[in-house]
Amino acid sequence: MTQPSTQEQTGQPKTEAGLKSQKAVRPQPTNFDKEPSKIAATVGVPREAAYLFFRDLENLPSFMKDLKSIEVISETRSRWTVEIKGISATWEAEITQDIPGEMIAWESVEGSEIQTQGAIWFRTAPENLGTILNLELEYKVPGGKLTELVTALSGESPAALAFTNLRRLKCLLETGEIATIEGQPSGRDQDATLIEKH
Amino acid sequence: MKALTWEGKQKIGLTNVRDPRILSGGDVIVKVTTSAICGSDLHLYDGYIPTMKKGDILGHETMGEVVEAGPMVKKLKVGDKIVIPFDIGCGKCHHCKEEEYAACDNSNPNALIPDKLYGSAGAAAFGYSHMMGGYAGGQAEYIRVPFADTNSLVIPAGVEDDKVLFLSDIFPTGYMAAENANIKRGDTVAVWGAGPVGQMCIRSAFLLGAERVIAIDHYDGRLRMAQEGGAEVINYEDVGSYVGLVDELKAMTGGRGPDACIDAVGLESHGQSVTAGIDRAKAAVGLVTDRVEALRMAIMACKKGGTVSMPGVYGGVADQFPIGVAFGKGLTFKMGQTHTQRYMKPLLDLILADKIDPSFVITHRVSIDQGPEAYKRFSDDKDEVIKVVLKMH
Ligand SMILES: NC(=O)c1ccc[n+]([C@@H]2O[C@H](COP(=O)([O-])OP(=O)(O)OC[C@H]3O[C@@H](n4cnc5c(N)ncnc54)[C@H](O)[C@@H]3O)[C@@H](O)[C@H]2O)c1
Ligand SMILES: [Zn+2]
Ligand SMILES: [Zn+2]
Repeated sequence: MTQPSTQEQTGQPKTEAGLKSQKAVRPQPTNFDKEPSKIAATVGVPREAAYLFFRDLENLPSFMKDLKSIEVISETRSRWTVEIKGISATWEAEITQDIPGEMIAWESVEGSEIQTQGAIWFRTAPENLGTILNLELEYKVPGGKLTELVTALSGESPAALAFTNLRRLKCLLETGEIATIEGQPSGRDQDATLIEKH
Repeated sequence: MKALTWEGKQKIGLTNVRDPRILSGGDVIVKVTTSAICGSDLHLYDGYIPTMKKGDILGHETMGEVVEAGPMVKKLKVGDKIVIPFDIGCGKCHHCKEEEYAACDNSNPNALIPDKLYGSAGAAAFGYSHMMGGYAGGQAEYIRVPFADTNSLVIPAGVEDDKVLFLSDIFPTGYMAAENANIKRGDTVAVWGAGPVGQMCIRSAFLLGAERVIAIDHYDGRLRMAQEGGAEVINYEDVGSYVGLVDELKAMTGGRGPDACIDAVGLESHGQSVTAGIDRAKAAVGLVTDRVEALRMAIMACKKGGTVSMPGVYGGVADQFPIGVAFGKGLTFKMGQTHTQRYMKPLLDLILADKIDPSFVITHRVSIDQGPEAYKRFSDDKDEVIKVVLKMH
């Protein structure tokens, strides 16, 4: 039998664990400019560790697809470079909200070649499951020569891009590696030759 | 190196491709000594599994020698002889820590597809479609193994390949299916499908205390092998379809029905009943992917309160699933990909203690050059060809 509701009575939001774990309370939405994104993953590391890893923005290219580098310019300002199939673009981003251990939001500065914004939320997961991460990533298609790049960057949708990058972050935090098949052989390679077929 | 590649429905290539290399710190490169063709490979061969691409390297029952190890590999070293499980675990996520390796969160780089299709993505597997990660398989002279500390079992020197190769898949699969059948001492277990997986189910059911095992198929060669393993057998073509088979099973079990039923057939089930005919017709025009005749019969025959265990693979949706029968009898269902890594070590110990020698199932040994031909024969001549192993070097 599930335990009777206590949170409903106090008006607090429900947690992932239903009502079992009192520890895993979603941070009050009032702290945030916006609600956490629906793209979520539970990662088996402590909340503080996940936050600190992400807050060091120079770590982001290690798991974010096609992000070539991030250079930290000041406490809140950074320079991002993406490269896809030889086309690259650079912009500066500003951290717009930073609640240590809870969330980080950023946005490209006015007048950037590529307009982008993103946010990540950190919450303690139920039991010993670690941390719940919610990620949002948006790229605005600018038109002109960078259209193709941004389309490639965001894949089929911003939600798909956030999903994939969040899974890669989870894999990296949990295993120290990112699962990949890029670079493995196949019969599709230029130098592959079919000997016979049945 | 030479590799067997998927070249379209019922087309297998022998292809020269680049050798694999280490792509991530936890990888090893293995020089494959022996690899097998699985019934699951026939689902690929027959075009039932979506997201295959021409040129994909096949194979997921693989063993060989470690020839190179990435800097993060701790447990393996060059020269180790290892068996590689078919499904890929990361070893670190919540599911892997619970030994639910087939549910690994991290190993599938293409998780978006199954996430959309199934609600969430299970573990990746070698040589088994891009939806399942797109990893190059082991029907090749070399294979790259990711998260290698988790995806390997070191075999002591002096043990021959054929005895331990099936720790990669079908022995754990048969064993887990028998475990999932909730067998209690004295139980009667019915097994649909006397293919390699069914054969391992039969042996495992006895190891777990079943008193009787009844094997059901329509190939006498396969039923003979089941009989050698101690099973009573029914050729379902002899008893008539559906009703005839269910009556026969009830007659053999004092009117109760088997305590547990194992479906070791999966989505390419044959059958003669009206519903089986509908399945076949719909599959042919692409309307429904899974043919569930064996499963229907298992549900119909199973005793009240019994368990239906399903190691057979399903991938899509099914028609005419007798949900009312299952409900009316209060059946329990257990299914899914095998958590192979969980079983490899304990089952190796059974082999080393001479409790079982899984090589009994091998009927053909061929070289990689004969691989494409072997697929065709395995598909066409199931009576004679039960398990094919490929010798790589
Ligand atoms: N769960 C897992 O992780 C896992 C692992 C390995 C294999 N599998 C699956 O197990 C299944 C069996 O594998 P296999 O290698 O033994 O395949 P196989 O094709 O060699 O054997 C299947 C057998 O089922 C028989 N059969 C077909 N229709 C039947 C029916 N209506 N009633 C009784 N028997 C019927 C066939 O004659 C054949 O002998 C496949 O679906 C395979 O994909 C699952
Ligand atoms: Zn298999
Ligand atoms: Zn895992």
